[in-house]
Amino acid sequence: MATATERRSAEAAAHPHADSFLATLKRALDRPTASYHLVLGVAGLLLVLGLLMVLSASSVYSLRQYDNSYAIFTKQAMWVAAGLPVAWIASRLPLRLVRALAWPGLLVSVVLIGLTYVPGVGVSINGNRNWITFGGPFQLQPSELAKLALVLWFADVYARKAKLLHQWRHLAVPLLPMSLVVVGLVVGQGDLGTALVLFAIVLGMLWVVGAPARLFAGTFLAFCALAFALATTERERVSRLTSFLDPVAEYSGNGWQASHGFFALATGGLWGRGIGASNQKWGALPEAHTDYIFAIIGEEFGLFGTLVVLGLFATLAYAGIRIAVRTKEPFVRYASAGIVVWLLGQALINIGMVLGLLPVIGIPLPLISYGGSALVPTLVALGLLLSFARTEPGAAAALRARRQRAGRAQQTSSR
Amino acid sequence: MLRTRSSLRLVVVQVMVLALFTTLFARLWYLQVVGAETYQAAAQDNAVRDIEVTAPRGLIVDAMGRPLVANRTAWVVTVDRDVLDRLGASTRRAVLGRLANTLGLSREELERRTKTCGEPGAAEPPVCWNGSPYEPVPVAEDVTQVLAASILEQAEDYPGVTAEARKVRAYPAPFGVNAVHALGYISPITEQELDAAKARGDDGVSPLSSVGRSGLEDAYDRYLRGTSGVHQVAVDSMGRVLGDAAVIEPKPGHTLVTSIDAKVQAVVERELERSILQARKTFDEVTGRKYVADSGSVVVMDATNGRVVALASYPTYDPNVWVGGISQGDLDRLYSDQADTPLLNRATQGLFAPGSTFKPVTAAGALTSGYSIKDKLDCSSSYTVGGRVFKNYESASYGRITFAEALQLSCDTFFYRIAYAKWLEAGGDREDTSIKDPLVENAKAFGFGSKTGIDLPGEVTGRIADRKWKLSYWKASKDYYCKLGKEPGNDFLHVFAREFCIDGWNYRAGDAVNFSIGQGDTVLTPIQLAVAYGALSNGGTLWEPRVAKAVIDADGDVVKRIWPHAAGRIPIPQRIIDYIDRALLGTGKVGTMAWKMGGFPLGRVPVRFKTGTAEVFGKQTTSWIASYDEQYVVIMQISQGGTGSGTSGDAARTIWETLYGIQGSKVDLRNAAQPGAEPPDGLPVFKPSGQISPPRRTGENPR
Repeated sequence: MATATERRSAEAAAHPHADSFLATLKRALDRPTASYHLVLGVAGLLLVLGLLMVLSASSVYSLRQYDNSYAIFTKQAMWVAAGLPVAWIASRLPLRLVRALAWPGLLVSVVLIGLTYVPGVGVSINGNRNWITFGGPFQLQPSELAKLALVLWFADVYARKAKLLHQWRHLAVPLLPMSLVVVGLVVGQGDLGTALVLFAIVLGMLWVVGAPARLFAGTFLAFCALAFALATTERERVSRLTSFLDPVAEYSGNGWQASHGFFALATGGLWGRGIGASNQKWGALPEAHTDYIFAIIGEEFGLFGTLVVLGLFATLAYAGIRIAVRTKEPFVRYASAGIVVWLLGQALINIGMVLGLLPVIGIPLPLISYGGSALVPTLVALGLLLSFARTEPGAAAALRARRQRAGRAQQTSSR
Repeated sequence: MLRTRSSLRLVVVQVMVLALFTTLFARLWYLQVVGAETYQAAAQDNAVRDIEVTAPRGLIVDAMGRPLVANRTAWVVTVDRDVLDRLGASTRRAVLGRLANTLGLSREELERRTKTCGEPGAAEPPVCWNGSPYEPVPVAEDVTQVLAASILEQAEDYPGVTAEARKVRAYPAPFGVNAVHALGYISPITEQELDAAKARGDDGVSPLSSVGRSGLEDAYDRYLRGTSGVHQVAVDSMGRVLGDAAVIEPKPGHTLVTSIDAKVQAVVERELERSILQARKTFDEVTGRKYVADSGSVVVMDATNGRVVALASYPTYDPNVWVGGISQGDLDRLYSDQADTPLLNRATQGLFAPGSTFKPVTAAGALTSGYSIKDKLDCSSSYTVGGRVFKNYESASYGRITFAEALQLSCDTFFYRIAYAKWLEAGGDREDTSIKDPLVENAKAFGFGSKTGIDLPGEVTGRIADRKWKLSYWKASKDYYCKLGKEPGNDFLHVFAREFCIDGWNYRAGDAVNFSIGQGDTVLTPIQLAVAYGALSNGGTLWEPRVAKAVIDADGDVVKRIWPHAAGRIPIPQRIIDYIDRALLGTGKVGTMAWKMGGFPLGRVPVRFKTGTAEVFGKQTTSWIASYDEQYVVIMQISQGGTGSGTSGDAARTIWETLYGIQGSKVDLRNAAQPGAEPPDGLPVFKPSGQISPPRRTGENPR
């Protein structure tokens, strides 16, 4: 015991800043604005990394497909440019207005998903009929919007029923039937990945609102049974779902994509081959700039890069849950918890798939993968999270004060 | 209370997230650091691809070393479906569109060609790809070098597409020979054949192999095909070659030396076609229309050992239709009845009633079962057996004549008498299939009714209509005829049906009588007749005909000699063979062939002839000429062609003149098709330079 203390003090002597760094960190986290800045910082870093990786991973594909290495990057940049103002607006909307939009938002999403079933409007891409087109190049994947809408609607309804939530009926209705409708529509499109994320959101919300363990477990088992049934009804799907265990064994068949994902990660090693130096993006790895972008990160930035991404998502989870724990507003708690479950769940499923822990399910990595339909709702969700962060006790005041300080400083300097 | 529970649960979520992240971290650590080498190695392996280099197929040369089948380079455009499928729908469409444009095809047609046979949207075999779905599919064969180069130079525009030089069959056709029925053809191996080959442990074939389909290409496939090499190349993910890794050179196939002589073969083919075209202009008085002359064949064989010197079948086709993939139209034509199925080799696969060319066989049978060469029988104009009148078709009535005269004049009634007597002797129409009819047994001993064993695949057995055959045929077809017999009508067919229904199994006097002159249900192949006449020439040995003589490797060394093989002997004493031989010598001088042989130096080249004009129910007569001397046997046959000497006589004479270098009535062996009018004993000499010179002759042997 004594030796341990000695050693610690010796370490402290060797690194005089170690102690003060932890202290600084603790002080920074104790500030009421910590959640706000964490969300802002993490979202910003992920977004920038995402743009960078989309550019790197898509350049070869773009050149082959569009004769322009920047074609896909340009589109993604345009989505970011369009999404950021929307996110800013979302972060400024009064909570009342956000809650007022919950019901219409869900209805619009359901109608849009319904439209994918309409011939001429619904478009099938990679075997999933989950896109709608309005003519021209603009295409939309309404199920991405549905994730955000579902979270907000859940949060709103549960917040209203805050006093009734000890009753089963109020926990289950209208939320479970409505989620069944949405999930059913998405499954009907053939998009099992999105359906899985929606499951996760429903389960997460049930958990967070404090549903009795039996209801939670029942719903969980029901979803598992449904997922199992869906997974085993199609032979193609079964072989796809089982090949993830040893993809290299089925190298030229179903294991192709997963194998090349492994190759990419393995080639990256500890420090990566360097930015832009991926081999697998030259056509071997399908969906390199969308679902498998994490593998390209691993190839170009190595374990270092993949851990940074993991760390950023972990920080996002920490910040989101911190907001949920600290707030007094039930809507904010449920909504932020829902957003965390959604984004983190999706990230975990995507990364788990790339790492061969899960079957290959086509869902993108939030904020990083290419795709505007997914990016814009994500940015809006993060905008809302920022707005929630400001509801933390003292946060709004601190932020105002800081802004005023900044304003004054600017005035001084310009003077 | 709810709030605290909710907060607690949020902490649980936090812990879960942490746990999941730890799992991901552990997995990442494993994939990127600990286990990385395994996957890096796998990624490296993947970058080397074995490309099979098919061996050039061996040549087929004639007895003098003239190439009959050789190879040339052709550019083949292939599409790797594996790579194409990974491109994504729009890129794939763009690539195929670009390629279709370059090849001058529609994109739909190109896509049809890339499909495996049986797949939805695939073309019909053999236009569709019948090989392994994992092999690059050839979509255009024999394209110009310029086109191939343009595809190779713009590899970026053509992922999964490549152009490669392959060896394809070429037919130098010395003296204009075709010989396709003897040579055969090759086509790409099918998946089923490949599986079958693997199952029997034959690893000499690969998905890229072409295999022999008929003729020598089929029979000697394992010598001709060679052994594939492997070209290991480093490739990128799109299958584009980055560089060489290792090369195992292919071993070219062996050369096959045949006993065919291109000079003789060319003359034979020309004469056969000329005779057939001539017959088609000739009026047939029996049927009241011109001869159909749908098909015909000629066999020239070395009587002393069974080696085939020439083998022609008509109609024929250009073997180049198989090169670079056959088109549906060409294939339909090859199989069509309208074009008289050019694929069929009439010499070994055609079945014909032999007609009078069978009479020497019957004579041999009669002379060894009680008749003597001194016997004379009446050559009447007709002979009645069992209430039916059998006419003397080919000859007039000559009164009492000898066997020799009967053969020379081809008197039918002479042999009817013998057949009837022998039939009575054996037991008449007794209901006993174990009865041995001496003439039938004799014919079997000459090799009829069984395969000669020629080294060309697909030979048919032919048929001797004996007692057993009659019974089995009756059992097989009585239902049809009994039903037909119940219908009203007194035409030949209905009357026949009624009779057949009752006792069609019965080997009756009429059957025996017809059999004696090679009519009725007995059919044989021209090659069987050649073997039988060869036995008359060589003193009684039935040789298995051989087209191939030897297999030679790339260094010019002999891998295998294909020796003649005696299948048996005819049970006829030399004395009787000599008698028949002398009789047939007269056919060209005073018999049925004499009118075609004016001025031919029969004294120096004593050719024995037997002509034949075989009746075929519902068709015009088959023209036959069977001839031989001490060296060669020449059999010629034209289906629906008219009389033996009338239709085929000139051609047979020309062939003999070619064999011996005869001009007018002068024999000049220096002009003989084969040096010294003798098939060479030795093999052509293969120099390492690839040059081939004719066999060295052991000694001049003029006759």
